[in-house]
Amino acid sequence: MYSDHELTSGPAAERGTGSGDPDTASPEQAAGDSLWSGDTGTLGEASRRALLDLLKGPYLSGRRRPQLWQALVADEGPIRSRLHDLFLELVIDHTEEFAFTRKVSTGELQVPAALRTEALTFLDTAMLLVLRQQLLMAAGEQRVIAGQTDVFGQLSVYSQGDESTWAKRLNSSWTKMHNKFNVLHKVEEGRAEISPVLKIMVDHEQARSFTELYRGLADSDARPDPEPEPESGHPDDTTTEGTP
Amino acid sequence: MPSLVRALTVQRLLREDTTLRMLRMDSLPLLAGVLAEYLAAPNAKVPTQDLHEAVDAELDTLRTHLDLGERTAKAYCDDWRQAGLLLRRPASDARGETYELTPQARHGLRIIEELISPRATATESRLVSLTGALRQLTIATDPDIGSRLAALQAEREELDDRIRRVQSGEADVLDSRRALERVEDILTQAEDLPTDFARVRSRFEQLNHELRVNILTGDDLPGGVLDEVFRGVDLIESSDEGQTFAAFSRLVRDPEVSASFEADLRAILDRDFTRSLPTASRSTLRGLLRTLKDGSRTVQDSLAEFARGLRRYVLSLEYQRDRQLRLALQEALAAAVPAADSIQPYQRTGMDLQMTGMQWSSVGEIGLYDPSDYDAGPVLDDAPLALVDVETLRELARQTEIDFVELEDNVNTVLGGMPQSERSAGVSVATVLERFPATQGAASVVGLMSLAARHGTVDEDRTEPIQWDGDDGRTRRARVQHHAFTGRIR
Repeated sequence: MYSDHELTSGPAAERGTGSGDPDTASPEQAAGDSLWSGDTGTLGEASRRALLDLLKGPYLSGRRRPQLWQALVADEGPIRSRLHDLFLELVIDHTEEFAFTRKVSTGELQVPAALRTEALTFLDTAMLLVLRQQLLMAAGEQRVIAGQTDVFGQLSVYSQGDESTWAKRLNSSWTKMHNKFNVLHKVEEGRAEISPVLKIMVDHEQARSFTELYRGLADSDARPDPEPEPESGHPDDTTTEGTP
Repeated sequence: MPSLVRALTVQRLLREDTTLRMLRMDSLPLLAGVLAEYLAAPNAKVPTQDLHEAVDAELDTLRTHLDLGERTAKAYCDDWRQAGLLLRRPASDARGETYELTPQARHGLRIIEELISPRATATESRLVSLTGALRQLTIATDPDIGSRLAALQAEREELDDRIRRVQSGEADVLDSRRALERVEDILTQAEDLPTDFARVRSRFEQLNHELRVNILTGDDLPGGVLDEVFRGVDLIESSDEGQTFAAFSRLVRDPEVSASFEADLRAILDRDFTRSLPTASRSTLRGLLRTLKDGSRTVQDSLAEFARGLRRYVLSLEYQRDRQLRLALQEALAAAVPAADSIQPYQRTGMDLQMTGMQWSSVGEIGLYDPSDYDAGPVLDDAPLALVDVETLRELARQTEIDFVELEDNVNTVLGGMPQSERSAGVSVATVLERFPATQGAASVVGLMSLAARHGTVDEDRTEPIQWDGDDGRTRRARVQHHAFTGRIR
């Protein structure tokens, strides 16, 4: 699979055209600079790191990683093209300085999904909406930090069953927002930063489709669950930390 | 103000005013002690975690002196935040959040400070600056050019007179006591500044938030906020607070003004009389210009940021999308209420959320199973079983436990060998020990005494000598309270 010379990396200076230290590789570095012998990549080092960061997700933040952000902005075209090779599109928010990838949506072609999707429970959808609303109402703040108690309070209108079961459900969704959906980042116990990516994940269209879903549920008292058994095999109360 | 009106106003303030509420809080000693220590400095901010830790540490010490419950620092800080004393903001350079004091809390701390070390206000210095200010105001506002000129003339003559006196060598230097008084006066005024800055800033924030929410909800657009923003009118800057602050900030940033201010401060700090000032006052004085500049810059920066953000928000037409989104979100949340009746919260909706990152795993991440990691060393063999007789086991038990069965038998035997009449007088522990010497040393003595305490009588006024042999074969003696058995045990 690997030829020998790819695995043994020679001194970098040998091939560099004088742009110097690879750690501070600037996006202006001429495309086509190979970083190691046998390298066929065409992006500068920083841009490659930016590309990798995008693929790893959940998003590349300009505030947290200014160098990669600069590289991304300078090399946006080529990076976009690399992502297209993987059926992914690049979403950039220049004002808020964050970028992420998502599956290209095209009517012309059925494309394979490089990114995974996660099934949403009813409570997940409601929590996403509440978080999105908090993000919206805090417009103008650089970072929006949500309190678990506030969010749970807003969701109390949908409460079902006895108190402790409901609290367990809430906690389970809250944990999923952190570990699975990656839209919350823990700040301290009970406080979490809402990922800016949620702005684009839940947009107008998504909100509309939630509404339609809810109306459908309310009209037909039948339960449209594709898997009628209520996840009894793996109760979602357990933390899903680290499980793929 | 009639007393009723004032009384009702104060009653309302007791309910609503944050500073008053703070002064009436049970946790005030802790609050004032800790927050003054960590957050009172102008523009001070502390990461939430750090404050929690600091308060927890203080709680440990304070619990021994004050009547505090078992509450944690976090719970206290939450209370104070809800009471409007602490402000929590996302930290700009880290992931966490920071605490700072609200203007109301600063005000409260100032009042407490004032109570701890009251300052005389009826000083000569205060009077001098009052009359001076009054005089300046009269001249500046006098519409009559004639009398204004006359006043200015009089001022000049007084100056000329002072110049003559200084030239002729008449000592005119302020004596140090009065000079110190004036410095104190200046410092008192300077202490108000952080509170002012905080108040201006929070007012701007409030304005910014109100405008944003107005634009977003569109419920209440006074005089076309949007139009005004479009016309480039900076609503925040042109508010009353904005204009007052802008004048202040211009003055602070004026290089000429600040240079002469700085020079005056240095000159005063070089004078002999300021030597006697406490170090804290000297450093406040030295840092006065810095404080003014920093405070004004913080306010200025947030002002500029709000204004820029607001203008961009409106110009980019982002607000239109946001308004629609807001409605859509509300609609969805409302539609979810009836839907909640026909679906369990944990049930899948059939909808998926697309993740924005790949799940990566490479061969390199897989850790190889190394059996030696789980090697716990050679297997331990079972020791060969040996036969133990009951006597050995009993001996083992007697080394760790008092043999009550033996002691009870002894007591009953002694009692049984006695005529009824003597028995009622009681058989003391010493008597039992005479008949049956202690087989377990001190343990037997303890056993007998506790049996007597449980089943017999204890005479606190009498003592008796007892003796027993220790493990080493030597005899030990002691005087113990008179414990006696009066009847058979069991």
